[in-house]
Amino acid sequence: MKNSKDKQAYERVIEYIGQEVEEGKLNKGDKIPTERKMVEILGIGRNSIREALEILDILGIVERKQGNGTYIRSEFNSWFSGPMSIAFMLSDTGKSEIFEFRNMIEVEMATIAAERITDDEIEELKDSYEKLINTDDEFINAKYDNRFHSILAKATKNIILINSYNAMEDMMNMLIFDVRARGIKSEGKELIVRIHRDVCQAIAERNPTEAREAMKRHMAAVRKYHE
Amino acid sequence: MVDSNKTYYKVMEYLVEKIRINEIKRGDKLPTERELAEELEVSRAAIRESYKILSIVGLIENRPGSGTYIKDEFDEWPEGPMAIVLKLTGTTTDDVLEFRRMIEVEISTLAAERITDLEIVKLKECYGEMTKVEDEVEKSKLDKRFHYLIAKASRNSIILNAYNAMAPMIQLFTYNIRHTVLEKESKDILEILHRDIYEAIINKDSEKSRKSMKTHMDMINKYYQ
Repeated sequence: MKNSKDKQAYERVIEYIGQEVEEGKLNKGDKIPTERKMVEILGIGRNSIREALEILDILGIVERKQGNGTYIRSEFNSWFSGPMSIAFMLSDTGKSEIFEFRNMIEVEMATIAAERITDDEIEELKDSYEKLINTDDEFINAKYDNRFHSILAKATKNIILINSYNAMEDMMNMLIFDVRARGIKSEGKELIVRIHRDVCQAIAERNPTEAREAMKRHMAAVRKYHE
Repeated sequence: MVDSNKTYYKVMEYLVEKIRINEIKRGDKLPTERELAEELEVSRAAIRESYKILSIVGLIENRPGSGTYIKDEFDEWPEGPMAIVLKLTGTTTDDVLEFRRMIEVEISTLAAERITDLEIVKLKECYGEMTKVEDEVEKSKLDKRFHYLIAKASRNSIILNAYNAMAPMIQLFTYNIRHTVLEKESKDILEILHRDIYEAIINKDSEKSRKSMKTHMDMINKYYQ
């Protein structure tokens, strides 16, 4: 930790907002004090206040409403978006590396999701399962395939996991479309049904052991289409 | 990110586009303030401010006398803002540990297979210091670095990105986790845990590395269930 005198002005502003959150004075969706008010409280120039708010804006922590001040965001499922998703885009990775990461987290994700999924999320999961092969448009099918997996991420209720998963969303969208195309070409649509059916069922029954095994089978079945 | 007309959003969109068409990679030099101001039709001051903001958040960096660059590695996301998100979302040590356990066991397996000689040297240095220093604050920093070096040795940049994204939170929690474990267990427990991982990795024994990391994660998780 730096001493307060070594801190840049913008850091002191961020710290102040952090303190207000800590003390419960600021919460999700709340309006934060005006720039003028913070100038008074902190004795820091307006430019530094503005800079701090811009940093918090770009990191997805606050949102600035035109002519209406700055608010703490009300939802934090993709605050890795912006700079962090750009970092993910810059990963010089092949499909096999993405697979490595997916394999790593999807199996754990399915296990935890089975324990924590809500009734509503089970309905969403079933809905995605129904739609991931059933429309005429493969783009839409792939979208539901992607959704199927992101519902599992959401169901873990682990905000770090959810954010890591969402930060990769663009990458994942392209990958899933591509992997499906190759899988369907060689094994038919039956493959897609088979790999998701058991996962869906185990999760709906809230059976973590089965969910884990089913997701392992899913990952093993698609591994070769990532190469 | 499209719903704002702030210049830094324009700069980010510009970067995303250039990355999509493969014109910008990690470590590349970015246009000068003047060039980008012309291209995006905004003032130079606005570009200067945007570059400053993007470098504070850890995406780009200014190299004095040389220009502005996309960073080579994104290992310094700011802690302050992260701490705010953790509080707002009620994220606890449990969540951090759960995610760590999820990825670090696999990471250490890969690291044992892929670590380079240079990385072994760095890991040795870090481990050596960790066993020498007495100060717990210093030890915590080295502990964090130890795990970071292992993540880096997995040679998968997505994994590294996910790890780095979480790094400020690890930083925020490591001291407390160590404190709890040291209070409840024998004093040398953390040293033993790290030693086993360290030895397995430098001997490139992936099975042992996996097991040791799992033991490490299970041990610290025990106190946060």
